Amino acid sequence: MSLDSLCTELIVKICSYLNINDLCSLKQTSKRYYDVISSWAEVLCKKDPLTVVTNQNNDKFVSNCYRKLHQWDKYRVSRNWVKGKYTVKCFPISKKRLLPDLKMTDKYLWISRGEHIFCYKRNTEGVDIRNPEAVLLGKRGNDVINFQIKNDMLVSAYGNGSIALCDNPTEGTTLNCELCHDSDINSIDVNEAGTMVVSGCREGKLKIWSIVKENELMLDLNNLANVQELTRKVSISDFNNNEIAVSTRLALSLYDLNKLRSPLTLTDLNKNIVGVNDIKWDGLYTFWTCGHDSLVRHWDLRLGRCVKRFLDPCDAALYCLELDQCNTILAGAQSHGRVTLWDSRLREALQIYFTTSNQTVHKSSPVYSLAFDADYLYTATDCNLNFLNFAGYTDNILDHRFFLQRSYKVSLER
Amino acid sequence: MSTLNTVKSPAMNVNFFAFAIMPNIKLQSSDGETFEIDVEIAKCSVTIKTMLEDLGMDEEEEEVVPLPNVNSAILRKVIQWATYHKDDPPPPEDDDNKEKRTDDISSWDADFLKVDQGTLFELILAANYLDIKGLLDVTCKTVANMIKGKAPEEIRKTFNIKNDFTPSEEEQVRKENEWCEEK
Repeated sequence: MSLDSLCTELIVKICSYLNINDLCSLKQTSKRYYDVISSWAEVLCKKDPLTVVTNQNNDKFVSNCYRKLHQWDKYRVSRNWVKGKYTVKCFPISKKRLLPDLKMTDKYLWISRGEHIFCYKRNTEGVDIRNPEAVLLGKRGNDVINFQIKNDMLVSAYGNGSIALCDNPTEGTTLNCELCHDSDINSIDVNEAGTMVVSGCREGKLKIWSIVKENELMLDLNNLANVQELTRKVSISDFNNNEIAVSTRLALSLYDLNKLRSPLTLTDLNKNIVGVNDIKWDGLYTFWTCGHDSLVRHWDLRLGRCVKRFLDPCDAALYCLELDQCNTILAGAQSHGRVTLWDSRLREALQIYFTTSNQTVHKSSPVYSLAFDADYLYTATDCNLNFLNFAGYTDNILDHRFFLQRSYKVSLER
Repeated sequence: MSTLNTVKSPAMNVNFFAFAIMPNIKLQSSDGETFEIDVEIAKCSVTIKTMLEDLGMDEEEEEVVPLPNVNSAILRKVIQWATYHKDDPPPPEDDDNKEKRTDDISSWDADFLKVDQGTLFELILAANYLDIKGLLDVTCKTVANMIKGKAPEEIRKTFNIKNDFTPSEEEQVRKENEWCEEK
């Protein structure tokens, strides 16, 4: 009578008392335990705490993931993110320094390069950068500032105040721009259904449009609000299309479509809100922001104030933000193509990643835009598109956690 | 026929005195030995409890319950455990989302389970067959404690597990699980 003579049910029962590390050891002893533990992973690992990045417990996030990770891989890949075990691939997208915007949808990765938007099909290697699936051509000299894709509706905003629409962006076409603002459009957003557009411009006009399709797609101005100041970022709530978060140089407000004249101004105790660059909603009443004040903030509209703050470990301005709608926050910083990873349950950052920018001019670039799924992190810097692959069994360790420790100590001394 | 007083345990003696007022039941082990015990103690086994309820066995009758999957040595141990724990509250339902503890084994149970591995696994099988949750939990915890904190090779040695991976498979599995060793 030995352990081997117990039936699978009892082996699983015994395993239910073991933690991940012990399960991993037992798994390596023989084929039987390997098979039992592998196939019962979902049950056995349930009691262990959530991982970062790889949880895949939000439908929206899962739909943007190239593959669904099994329980065991969730732990492995999550640890790769935290430990800095990954491989980097870097693709130059331009010789000039640009301000590229990056978006990820279930099958494609989209990046704006000057006046054009390129669409790449995603695969197990990330994307095939040499063979774009489609190119959406713009007018020469009129760069894409910001674009958004929701429900196959692509909306892009240009420097001269025009907006272009496309409802079959993967086919590739020349985009027709429609002049919509008298000045540069700084930010644009489209609702989940792809029917409503919000644009904010330098002169402080916030315009709300509906998309009408007759012979061609057209924008119909529904509403207009005067923000008074340059609008940096507009973001329609993914959970309630009537709510729009708008940031200006020194303020953050919430506009309700039904009462545009009286926006709710959000405050953060005595701290100033400086230049919010990105806004991401994670609930009906909550969203995250990052900005020039080096802070990632979580806002709760029921309280009308900030409920959580993370300071960038290097005190740099933050340009872009992404969430996995669970506990992962990634923010791209102003210099060195640096991205910081936070777990929303912890106080300190978990890891930092450096991606490449233009090497020749010896200037470091901000991460202008980023996207991630459970396996990959994509960042767009001035001249490059970078892929960081966390799914592999690599021995390559780029662990920059010592930076975090140092910055933490410095901030304590102050 | 061996009766309870053959088991030299203080707990058993208590039961022996209660003999006269409590209805008894006879259990027969696979090797033909019969144990006469208090019905209430026997009912800590859900298998026996259900059998008595479903079959409506008359407690007056001198019927013997055969237990073909449990030998006398193990059945004696099981009865000893059940007698000691007869007044325990029912064990709580398992919560899969909570990390299960293994450091909450009582000292009596720990002493009781100081047995060779063969007996320990026989006890697990018997507890499983007789559906005695408390005993199954504590025996499985004991085995889990023997695994905890050990490297794969140590686990193999402890339980005499044969490594049936080919060298290349073993390397693959090691690589796959590498992330776990480093903390």
